[in-house]
Amino acid sequence: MKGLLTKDLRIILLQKNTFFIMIIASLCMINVSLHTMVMFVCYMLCGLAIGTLSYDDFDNGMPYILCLPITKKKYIDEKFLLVFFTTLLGFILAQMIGYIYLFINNNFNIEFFIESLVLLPLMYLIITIQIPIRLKFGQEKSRIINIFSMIIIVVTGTLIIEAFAKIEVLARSIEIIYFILLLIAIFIIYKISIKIISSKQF
Amino acid sequence: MIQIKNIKKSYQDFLLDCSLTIEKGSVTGIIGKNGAGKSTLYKAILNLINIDSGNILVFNKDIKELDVKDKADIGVVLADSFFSSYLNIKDIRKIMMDSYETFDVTFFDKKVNEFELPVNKAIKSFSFGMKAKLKMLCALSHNAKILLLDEPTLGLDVIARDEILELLREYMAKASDNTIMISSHIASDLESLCDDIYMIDDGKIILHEDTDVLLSNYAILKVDDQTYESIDKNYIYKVKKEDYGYALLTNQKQFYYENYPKIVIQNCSIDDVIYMMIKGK
Repeated sequence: MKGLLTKDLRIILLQKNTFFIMIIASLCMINVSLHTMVMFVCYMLCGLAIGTLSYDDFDNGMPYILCLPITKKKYIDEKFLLVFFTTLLGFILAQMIGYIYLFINNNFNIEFFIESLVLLPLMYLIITIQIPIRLKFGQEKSRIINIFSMIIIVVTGTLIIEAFAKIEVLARSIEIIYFILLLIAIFIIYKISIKIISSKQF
Repeated sequence: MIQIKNIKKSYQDFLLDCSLTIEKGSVTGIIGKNGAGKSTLYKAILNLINIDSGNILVFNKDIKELDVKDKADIGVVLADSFFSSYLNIKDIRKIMMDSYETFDVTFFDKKVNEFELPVNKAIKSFSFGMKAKLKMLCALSHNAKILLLDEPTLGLDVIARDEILELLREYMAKASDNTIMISSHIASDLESLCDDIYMIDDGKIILHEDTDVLLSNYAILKVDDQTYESIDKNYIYKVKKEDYGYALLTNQKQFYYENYPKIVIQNCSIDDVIYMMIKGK
């Protein structure tokens, strides 16, 4: 897996200009809201990670990559790990930008961090769902499918949370239920990704 | 080293249906025209496609049971697949170091210098020959026990092809167990390198023979209609009607030399054998 991570990090570094543009754009997002800025930074950074799937596929590179001393499962493990680290990096970066802003505006508070933390697994889910979609449909078709899948996730998640909120017993543990549901969803996406790559023919 | 037993893989208008064995310590050539099934065969061995039936053993293990250590002992060159062309040699060197415990950095760097390959330029700016050499170096630099090479000399000029074939000779000289399975549609590449050759056409193995035997015992007999009627056909593989009469492929050149001294017996190359095997009846 180390070789795969090295490959993907080198590919991400090819796009370092995009990274700087992203930082500048994130500063504009602060005017919308701090949480929008957090989601934007995480999403843009993870986009670089997901983009490695396109680089692997471009020039028909996937057959050769799968001939390296890895299993198909390891390929998926590496992508999920890469997205996890870039989400975390994006989160840390967004927190730094956010807290500098709050400090300048004399509004230093802990709520920003806690509220952002709630968004972290949701961002991870939204990004990782692109992995099985890209593997199955390729880059072009997956753009449209991604939009629908995000809508489905947000609507389903909202309905489930609202339903649980109406049940008094569950309403008290809504945050725990939210995290458990996200973890289950991420696990399902991981399993689907492995199934897709195992049956895919190159 | 590799055993392929009765594998079948069907596509819309193509069926791969073959068996073959690659012996340890040998260089085996797979030759066939474009679309014959060479690349499909490689993809089946490398578990890049799912076969419909049959089984494939590499290192006496089913291909689906190969672990990462087994895969590290296989060096691969694919005709139309490699690392992203946005990476450069420095990137690939690091990726290979991190992928293979047995990666020989000294050998890799030495050969990169010898071939004068630019280390800081993206692969997309490489010529055909430079890219082919780099692919070969990646396959050779991690002390693999077996090389699976699908058209490694495709599109190369004669000098570049010779340099690559020389690398393969050096690889075979390193260890007696080293094994190569190489495909090409250029017979002359295989004649000088391979111990035995499989000919594949339309997904089927049509001939398997030692290279020495192919070049020494096989011949084309050129006969007129009258001679064709009377000639002993027990050792005739294929027949093709020609303007002058018939061209006959035999694997017993010496028999016809001794018993039919007056007929035209032409020594044939592997290309001639392929042509007769495909076009003849």
